[in-house]
Amino acid sequence: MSSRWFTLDRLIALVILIIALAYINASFNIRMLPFELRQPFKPNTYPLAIGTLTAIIAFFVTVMPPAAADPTIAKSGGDTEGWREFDWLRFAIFFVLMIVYATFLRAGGFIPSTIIFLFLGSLVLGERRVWISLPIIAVLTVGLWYLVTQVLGIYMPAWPSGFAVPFGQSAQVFNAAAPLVMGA
Amino acid sequence: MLEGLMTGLAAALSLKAIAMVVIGCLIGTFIGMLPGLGPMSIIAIMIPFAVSLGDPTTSLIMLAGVYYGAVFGGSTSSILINAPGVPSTVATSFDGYPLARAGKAGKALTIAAVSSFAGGTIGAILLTMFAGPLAEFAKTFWSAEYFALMVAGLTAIAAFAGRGQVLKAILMVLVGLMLATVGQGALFNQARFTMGVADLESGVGFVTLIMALFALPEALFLVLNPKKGQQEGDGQDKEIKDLRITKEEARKIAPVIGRQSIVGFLIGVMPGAGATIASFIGYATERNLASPEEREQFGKGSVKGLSAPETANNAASTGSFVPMLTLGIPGSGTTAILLGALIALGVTPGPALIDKNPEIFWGVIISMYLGNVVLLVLNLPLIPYIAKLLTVPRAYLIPFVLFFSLMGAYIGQNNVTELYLMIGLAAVATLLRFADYPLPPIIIGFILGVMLEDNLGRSLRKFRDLDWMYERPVTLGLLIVAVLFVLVPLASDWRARMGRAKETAQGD
Repeated sequence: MSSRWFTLDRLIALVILIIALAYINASFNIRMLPFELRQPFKPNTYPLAIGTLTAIIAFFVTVMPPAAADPTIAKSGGDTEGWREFDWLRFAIFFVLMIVYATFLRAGGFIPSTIIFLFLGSLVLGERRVWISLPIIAVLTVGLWYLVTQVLGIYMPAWPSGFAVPFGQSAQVFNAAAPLVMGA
Repeated sequence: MLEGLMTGLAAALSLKAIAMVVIGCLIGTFIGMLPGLGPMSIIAIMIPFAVSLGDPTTSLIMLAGVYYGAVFGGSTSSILINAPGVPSTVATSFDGYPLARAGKAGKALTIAAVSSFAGGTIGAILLTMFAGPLAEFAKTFWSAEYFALMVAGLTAIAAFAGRGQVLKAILMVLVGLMLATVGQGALFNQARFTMGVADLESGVGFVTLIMALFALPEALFLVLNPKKGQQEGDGQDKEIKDLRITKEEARKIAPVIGRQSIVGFLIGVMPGAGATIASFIGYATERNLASPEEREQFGKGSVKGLSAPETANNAASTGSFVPMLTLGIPGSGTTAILLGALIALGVTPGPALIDKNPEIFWGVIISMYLGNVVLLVLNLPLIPYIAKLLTVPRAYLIPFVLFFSLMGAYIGQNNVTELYLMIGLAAVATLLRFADYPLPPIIIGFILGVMLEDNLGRSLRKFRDLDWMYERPVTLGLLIVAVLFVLVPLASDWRARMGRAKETAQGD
C-alpha cells in the first residue's frame, strides 16, 4: 500500500469507527430500570442499532479504494485548495481567542471581554488603526449587550462582579421595568 | 383548504408578519451578499432573534424570509464579484460574472432577480397546490410509516450525495443520529452518553451544532484563506447602471423560467436534492436545449445560462418546504435548521401541523408570495447601494460572526460548557471539510434522530416484533425505496472505484 492509501478521509473514518465502538460499549452500560429490561424497546436498542451501523460503514470507508472524483459536483466549493499556503497561525490564534473569551465571558463581564475579543480579533486580521477600531468596537459592544440582555432577555453581567458602575445598576432598573414595557 | 388559505392570509398579512418578511428578506439579502456566509449560517445566527419573537408563525415567516433573501443575496455576489457565497449560486456565476464584466451588471442583476422571483413564485403556487393534499395523505401514517419515511428521507441524502460520497454521506447522517442520542430523551428517564458531564444532560444544543458546523467554519475559512471570496481582477469599473432588460431578452428567458421553475421545484421536493443540484441540472438542461449558436454563448454571458440556475435554485428552495411542512422531514440542511427552530419554538412538526397549527402551515406559504415581491420590488433597486456594503472590512466582519456564533450557542443553553463543545465541534467540522465529508447530513440526522428513535420505539411497542416492516404496504414500500436509495448509487460508485483502482494499478 502506498502512502496515498492513508488519506485524511480514511483517518477520519477510522476515528469514527473507534468512536462507534466506544458508543456501542457505552450502550451496553446504560443503567436500566427493572421494568425497562423486559421491554422490547430498551433505552439501548436504538443506540446499539445505529452504533453498529456506523461501525460497519466507517470500516468500509476506511478500507475502500479511493473514489473516482466527480467533476460535476464541486469539492466543498473548492475551499480546501492550496491549503499549504493557508494562514494556519491566525486560524490557531482564533481558536485560542474563542476559548479564552468563552472562559472569561461571565467572570470578566460581557462588555470588557467582548471588547477585548473583538479588538484582538480585528488586530489579528490586520486592522492596525487602533484609534478607529477601538471606539467602533466599544460602541457596537454596548449595543450588543443591550441586544443580548434586554431584547433577547439573557442574563449576562455587563461588568466583572464587584465592579460597581452606574451602567450596571441602570440595567437592573431596566430589567425590572422591561416586563411592564413589553407587556404593554 | 380554502379555510386554511384564509387562516394563512390572516396570519401572513398581519402587520407584524409583513414587517418580519421585509426585515427577514433585507437581512438575508444583506448577509447573503457577504462572501463566505451561506443561508445556513445566517439562519442559525438569526434563530435567537426569531425565538425571542415568541410567536412561532412570525418567527418562521421571518426565518423563511432570511432564507430566500440569502439565496437572492448570494446570487448578487456571484454576479458582481464572482464570489458565490453559497454552492447553490455557483452556477449563477458561470454567466452572471461574464455579463457583469462586459458592463452589463445591472442587466444581469435584473435577470437574476426576475428569474428568482418567477422561480420562487411559481414554486409557491405549486407548494400551495400540493402541500394540502400531501399533508392529508400523510395523516393516514402511523409510527411505522413515519419510521420508514424518515429512513427513506435519510437515505435519500446518500442518493444525491454525488459519486464517491455515498458512504461518507451516510456516515455523516449516522454521526448526526448518534449526537442526537446524547442527553435526556423524552422516551427514557435516564440521560444517555453524557460521559458524566452534567451540562450534557440537556443534550447537544441544536443552535450549537449548526454554528459549529456552518457559521464558525465558514468564518474560519476566511481567516485561513485570505484570498477566498476576494474581489477578482479590477472590480472597480462595474458600476451598476442600467437595470432594464430588452423585450428580446425577456422572450428568451421566458421558456427557461417556465421549465426550470417546475423542474427545480420537483428536485427541491425530493429529500436530499436541493437548490444546488437543481441549479446545476437547470444550467446543464438549458445548455443542451439551446440552439448551437446560443450554446456557444453559455459561459460567456448567456442570459439563458443566468436565468436557468437562478430560477431553478429558487424554485427548489421553495420546493424543499414541501416535505418539511407536510411530513416534518427536512429535505435539506436549511430546512432541517428551520425545522429545528420550529421544535425550539414548541411546535411539533409533522402531518398534524396543518390541522393543529394551520396559521403556521399556511402563513409561511402565503408569506412566500409576499417575500418574493419584497425581493423584487424592494431589494432590486437597493442593490447598487447594498453592494457598496460588500466592502465591509473582514477585520470586523469575522470577529463579529464568531461573536454571534458563540452568543447564539450560549443563549440556547445558557452554559459555558456549550461554548467549549461548539469550539471543539467547529475544529472537527473544519477537519471534515478538508477531508471532503458533507456536513449538512449531520444536521439532518441530528434533527431527525429523536423522532426516528421515538417512532421506532412506538412501532416496536405496538407491534412487538419486526413484522410491521413488511406487513404494512406503505412502510414496506418506503423501506424498499430507502434500500434502493443506498444501493443504486453505491453500485455505480463501486464500479467507478473498481475502474479507477484498475487504472491506477496499471498506471503506476
